Amino acid sequence: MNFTKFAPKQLVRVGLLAALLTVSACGSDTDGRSTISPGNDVAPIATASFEVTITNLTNAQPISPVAALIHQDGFNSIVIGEGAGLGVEMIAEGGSNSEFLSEVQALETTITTQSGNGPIGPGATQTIRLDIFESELAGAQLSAIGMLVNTNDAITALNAVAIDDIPVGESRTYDTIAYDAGTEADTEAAGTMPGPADGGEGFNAERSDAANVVTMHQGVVTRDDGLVSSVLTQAHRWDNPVSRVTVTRL
Amino acid sequence: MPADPGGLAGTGATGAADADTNTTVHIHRGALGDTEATSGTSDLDSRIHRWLNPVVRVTVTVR
Repeated sequence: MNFTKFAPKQLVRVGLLAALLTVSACGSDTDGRSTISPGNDVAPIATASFEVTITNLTNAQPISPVAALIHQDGFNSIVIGEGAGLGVEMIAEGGSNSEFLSEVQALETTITTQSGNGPIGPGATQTIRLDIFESELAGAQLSAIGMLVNTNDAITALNAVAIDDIPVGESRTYDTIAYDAGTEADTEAAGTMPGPADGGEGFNAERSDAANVVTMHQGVVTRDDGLVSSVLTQAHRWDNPVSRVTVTRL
Repeated sequence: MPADPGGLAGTGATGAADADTNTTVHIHRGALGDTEATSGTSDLDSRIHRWLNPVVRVTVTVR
């Protein structure tokens, strides 16, 4: 991990959390809330822990490793009708979330980030855990984003949902839809998509889509529906929603 | 497929899809259809048998 890209605030809290986790025991106070005890003479620092469980609802569109973050109000990973940032473009075209995570870690609004530990196949479920201090909870929002990899630049995203009012032990469920990042033409042509249906190119800095803005995705045409230059088949089509996200406060 | 009550379904198609990749319950990706009434891959008509979610609206009235 490249810590030099962290904002000062991030550096401090990462160091503090790491120190706490190495010297301390985790437990629960009488409210059932998880705590981190830094030592015998220091009061426990309350944490707020969340599990984000993502299920892929498509037939044949694996979702690239999801980038998840807890942040304050004012951040949106994508905005319909506006151009995608470089980090989002790299997710949308190649399924790589490292640039996006570096970008958001440098933002003052970001509290913590986490990457999924691999792609989520059709029908599969993966859980990502995020921990913050309870003092950071007020106003906290969750965002998550990943690519439908058998496409040119389709993504699905959970966009800045409030999580600070989820009671301990309870959860909230969201369905997410597919967006077109607008950074690459939707040719479906051989060599243009990184997923297993093609094994082609991922990120390319050229912005070749008809409109260089994020839109709701219109779906894939596929060769079975008459696009003879497409390497996709009817199996790669989808309808919304494409993923279900359950957020649980531990 | 059960019969189309509208009587608009075709015949003689070869079938649009093999087994699903995702064998768990998942969101339907839609019907492909084609425009061939007595041949092609689908007996559905791509001009009239397609849909996009949502497909029903449920209203609960408390009496």
